[in-house]
Amino acid sequence: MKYFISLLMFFLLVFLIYSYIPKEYNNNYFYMGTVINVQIKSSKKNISKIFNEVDNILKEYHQLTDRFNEYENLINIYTINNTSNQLEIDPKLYNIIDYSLNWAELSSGLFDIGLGNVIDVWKDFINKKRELPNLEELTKLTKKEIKLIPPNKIIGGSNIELGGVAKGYVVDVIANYLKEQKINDFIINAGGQVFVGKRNKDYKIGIKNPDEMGSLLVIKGQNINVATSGGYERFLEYEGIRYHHIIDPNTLFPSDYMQSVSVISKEGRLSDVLSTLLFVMPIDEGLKLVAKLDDVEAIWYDNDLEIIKSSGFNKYE
Amino acid sequence: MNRTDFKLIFIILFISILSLILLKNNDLKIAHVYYENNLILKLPLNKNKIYTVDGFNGMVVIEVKDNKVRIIDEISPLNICSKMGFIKESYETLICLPNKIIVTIESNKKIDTIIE
Repeated sequence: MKYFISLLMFFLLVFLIYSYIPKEYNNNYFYMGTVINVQIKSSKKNISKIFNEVDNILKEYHQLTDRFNEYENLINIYTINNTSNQLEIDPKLYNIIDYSLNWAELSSGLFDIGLGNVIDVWKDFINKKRELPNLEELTKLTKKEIKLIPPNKIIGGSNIELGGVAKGYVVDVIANYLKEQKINDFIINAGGQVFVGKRNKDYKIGIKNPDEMGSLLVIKGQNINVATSGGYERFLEYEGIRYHHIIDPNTLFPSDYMQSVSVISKEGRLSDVLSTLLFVMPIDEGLKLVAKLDDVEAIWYDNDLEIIKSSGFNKYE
Repeated sequence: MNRTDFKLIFIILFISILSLILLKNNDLKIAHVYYENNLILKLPLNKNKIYTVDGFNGMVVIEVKDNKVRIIDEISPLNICSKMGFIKESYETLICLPNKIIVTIESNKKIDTIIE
């Protein structure tokens, strides 16, 4: 009997310990034209509720920032782009546009969320659905400026495209939600955009070398966001020149200063905007910009695939 | 508690630690095929074979060859995932967005995640 009780106690103890060991969970979401993968490690029991809420967040931001579809009872980018009226918009959408316009001003227009139609033309060209566009035609597609009226209105009829900021923004919202739920060990991967949380050892994030399959550069850290912009994933080679879809607002042609750039910062929105911005800037100017910003580092692959790092980058290696 | 109790506890601990070690050293790579969030197929990479699964637009054909995996046929506008070629490392992923099919590789991973 004594024997039996001690055995029972032992199993009870094992069971108790086991139920408090954090487990790994993994979920995929299909929004914003990509797969968003959320991995969390937690000993909580209500994980499916948390994953559902993440789905709600993603769905809401997906619909708000969608420029191709309209939804019932929702004013989104599609609505804004296809009217000339003044519209009252959701504060979430207002904030994304406001954040983007601030960066547009800070970068003297080099970060541009008004190039939707131009990007569409280039995407069609890359997908071999049309001839090589010319500058005259592209210039006609750039429409009037985007104007917000505080606290919650916008003037419609512009040409908004939030591809350079929306994913970073929603990744922040999800990360904050998970932290509120006391889930600190997480990885959110939204294609070109990774947010990692906090745990007892550093996360290892791989950045692909733009040309060689398989070769990786590894970044180590916690509570950071990494975003990459590159022209190497989807492109078309035409008469010896590579065309992709990250457009230099000055030339309205694909930017060709580098193969790719990755930005590390504390915020998804910041990494996302900066990687887009740095991609359309000469590398030496980008280095100067990064040096001015707190808690921001970057790494470039130039056109010869040489690696250039910002001054504080080594703390992530 | 007497000596037998301790012996028993020791034996159980020994077995559990041993099984942990043995399980961890399993180095076989397995490709996991997901349709949305559902794991629909596990493919051992040490066996050359061609598999078909149902994607959103119809059949998706997956080939395992020489410890690598690729998609050889699927119905989609741009056929991006067929063009991606082979993957073999745990940080690599094949994504067929129109077909909602994702292929990942599970093994003892050294890297937590990768930026595409």
